Amino acid sequence: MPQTFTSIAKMGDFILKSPALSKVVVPVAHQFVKFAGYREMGLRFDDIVSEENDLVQKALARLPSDESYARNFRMLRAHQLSLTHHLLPKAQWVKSEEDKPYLFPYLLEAEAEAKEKEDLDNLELVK
Amino acid sequence: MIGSRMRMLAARQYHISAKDSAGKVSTLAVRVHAGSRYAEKDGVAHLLSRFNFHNTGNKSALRLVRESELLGGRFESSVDREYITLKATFLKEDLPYYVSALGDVVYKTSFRPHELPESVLPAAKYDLLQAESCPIKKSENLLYNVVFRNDLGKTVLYDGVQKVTLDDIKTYADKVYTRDNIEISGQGVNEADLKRFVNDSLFASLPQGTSLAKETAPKTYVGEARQRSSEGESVAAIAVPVAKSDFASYQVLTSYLTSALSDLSSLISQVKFDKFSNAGLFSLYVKGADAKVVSENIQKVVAALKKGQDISVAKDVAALQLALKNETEAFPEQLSLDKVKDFKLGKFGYAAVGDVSNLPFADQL
Amino acid sequence: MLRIAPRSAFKRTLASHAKPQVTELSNGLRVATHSNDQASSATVGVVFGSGSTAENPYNNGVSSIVANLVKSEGALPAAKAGVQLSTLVGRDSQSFLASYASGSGLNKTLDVLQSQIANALGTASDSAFTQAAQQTLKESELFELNNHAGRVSEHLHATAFQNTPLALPMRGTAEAIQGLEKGDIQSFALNHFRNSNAVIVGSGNLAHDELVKAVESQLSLESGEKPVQKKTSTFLGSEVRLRDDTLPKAWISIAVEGESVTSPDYYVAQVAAEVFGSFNAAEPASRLQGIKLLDQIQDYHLCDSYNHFSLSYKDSGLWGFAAEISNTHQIDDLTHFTLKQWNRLTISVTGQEVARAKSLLKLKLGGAAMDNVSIANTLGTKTLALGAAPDLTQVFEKIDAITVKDVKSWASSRLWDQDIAISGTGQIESLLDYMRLRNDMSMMRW
Repeated sequence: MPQTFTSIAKMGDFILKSPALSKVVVPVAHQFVKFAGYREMGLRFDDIVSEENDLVQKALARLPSDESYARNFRMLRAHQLSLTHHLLPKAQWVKSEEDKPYLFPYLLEAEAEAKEKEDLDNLELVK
Repeated sequence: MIGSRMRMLAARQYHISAKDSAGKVSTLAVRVHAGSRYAEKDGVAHLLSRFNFHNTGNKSALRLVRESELLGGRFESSVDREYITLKATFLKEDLPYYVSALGDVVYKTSFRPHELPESVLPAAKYDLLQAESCPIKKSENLLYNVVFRNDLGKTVLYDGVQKVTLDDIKTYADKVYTRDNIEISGQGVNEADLKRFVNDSLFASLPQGTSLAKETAPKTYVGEARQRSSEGESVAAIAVPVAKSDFASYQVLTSYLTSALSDLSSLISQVKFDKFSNAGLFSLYVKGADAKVVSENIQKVVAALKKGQDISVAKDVAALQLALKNETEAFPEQLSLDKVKDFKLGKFGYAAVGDVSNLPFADQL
Repeated sequence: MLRIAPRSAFKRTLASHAKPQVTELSNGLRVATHSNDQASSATVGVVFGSGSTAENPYNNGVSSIVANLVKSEGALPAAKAGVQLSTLVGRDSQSFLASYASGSGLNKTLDVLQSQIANALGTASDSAFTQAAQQTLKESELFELNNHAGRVSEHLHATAFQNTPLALPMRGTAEAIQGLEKGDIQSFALNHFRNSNAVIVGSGNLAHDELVKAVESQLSLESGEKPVQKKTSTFLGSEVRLRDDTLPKAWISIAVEGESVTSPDYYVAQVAAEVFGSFNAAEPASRLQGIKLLDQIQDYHLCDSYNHFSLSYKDSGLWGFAAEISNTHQIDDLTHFTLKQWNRLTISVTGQEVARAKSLLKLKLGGAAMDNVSIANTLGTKTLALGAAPDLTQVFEKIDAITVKDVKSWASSRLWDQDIAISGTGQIESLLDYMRLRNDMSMMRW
């Protein structure tokens, strides 16, 4: 099955609902985030979603202007850090409570729209 | 059981009218007292009208269009000074679907933030561009503004002079989409069926509200407006506010001035008579590429009208034109034209658009 | 799967549904009515089976002059009688219709009509004829100046049916109109306004018998055979370009030969045109339509609006599309994608697309028959072409019976790899040449 944002959200909900699964998966996820290191560059998880496709572009266009400004700021800052081979001072690292999915709801909505269009484009008529 | 009876009672307070016909196609119109005169910010009414038939809680705009084209139907929403009118035209047997779709729109439009910049504003901007390319429309707006100033004098289309936010539109929708403020009319529709389906639709969930329709006559003014413009031809136009009791004679006058019965008809480009709940506006337009000719013609027309004209000859034509209009109109209007005799122009509002240097001033007419 | 409320659950028809009726009088004149007793007005009139195709290059525009003559001369008597006159000129027909408030009025309305036809036959003054010719000339000049889409359509006919009657413009050419005198106009009217070439039509609130009786006693036209048309119109693949870079946009139209009015595939062609329907980029709902062509058009805003048509005349027809384009550098993309979609009609049009087209065609036909004047006009033209106007119920049955297979087989014989007519004006630099476009009418593989 091709992975979509909707399927990711569904899987996440499923894992969180089951205590046994979350006991295993959640710590792994935390480790993953730690090794990925994006928070140390001042980024949030939604900043590193690949944006080179129509779907994400649509979601980005729909971001409120303050969110969009903050996202651009974080990216510029991360680029500058990468260029100079630095990390942010530890106090400015993104904390886990700040790492909110600000783009994800827009991605889900855009994906649902695309799916609905796909379905309606390929209707089977039943009389 | 009791619940359903209560709903029946509530629904009786709707203004529903229906006329059946032998045709294959029906139209359903929902008329809301929500035109520009009721809006607190300029352009809100227009944007709300353009928001109709977008995503609702039950159905996305895409699904609505796709389903309705498979059934054979289409929707449109229009706005004027008095009303926002939602209209569905469809094959006769699909009435239930369209009643419920219109109910959805009125009760449950989602007003998603992205729809405003992505779809509503471009459409509104297109409307404005269309209207502004027409010098007669431009002068009509000036005349309304001169004659009524506020209320009916407000501009209809959104032009961005006053910034309108999504919240403004939502608040306005809550204010106008109430049970007492809307009228439903079906053509080619059985009245009992229509009432039944309205009861089963989300129309029945609308709050009671109060009718916003105004009854007391508005204050009117005499004035003049001029607008230089290089686009299109030049227009000189006059307008007279009409009290409700005079509707009949202006109706006949409109027919008189546009028919061959009057010598003036060849000089006049257009005559409009708009009727509202508490007043009307009669307006007359002379248009031409050469502003000097326009100037001569408007002077001739005004001079002739000031002298007074016997317009009773046009009663038959006016009655016919009214009958023809009522046949296709969702909300027919009745006027008794019997007592109309003659007409004499008194005070009037004046507007000039285009090459205004060559168009007369109001006091020169 | 689509959830649609079952149609059988709600069906209601009116008992008083009146069908069109036709009676032929002893003098060969036909009277056709389509009455509707709920209307508050009625329309009666005469429809003649001769429009611009009955003209020739030297009297082209004469039908329009007659129409203008009737309009200007008839305006005052009509207004006095409380009657509204409409005149319509088509390629195969010309109508003079008069509406009146129902009840009394039939007799005086027929009087107005009779006197106006007499006017056209020569009782009107010389100056009235000159004035009508001037008016026609002015109208055709304004048309040339302002109506670019209309101009493209006229030239599409001119190139598609070159040297045959359908090529003549409906409004006439300036050269022909300027050379016309009262005698020319009169003789055209004398030759064509005859019993055998006319249908008296009535619609709205009037009874068939009443009209038949009134016509018998009140209305008389010239007798004699209707003029025989010497030439039938034939289609020729060709192009005409009126490039004008001073215009703000581009207007183009491409068409294949369509169906004639008598063709058994008349409605199939209409359904096929409705598969692509019409589109207006400024209208949000229009952008959401279930037309596969729109996906390609909208990504690059290839056009502002388009309209697919299936026009049918006595001898032939045109099936194609017309578009208005502000993205003038990508006309080649627009035509390519459109013609590739036309290919799909033959090979892979879906049941959903055909079902949608059928519903929308029914809506279009049902919705067009709303006002009395257009009902009367359609009634007249159909009676002239087919002998009797079909009832809408029969038409709907015919449309319902059309299947995907019918559309495919129609498209494979009439559309796939067929010659096309091309017409365009405005900034059409990127409208490809004939051969490039013609090659898109079929595919080597798919």
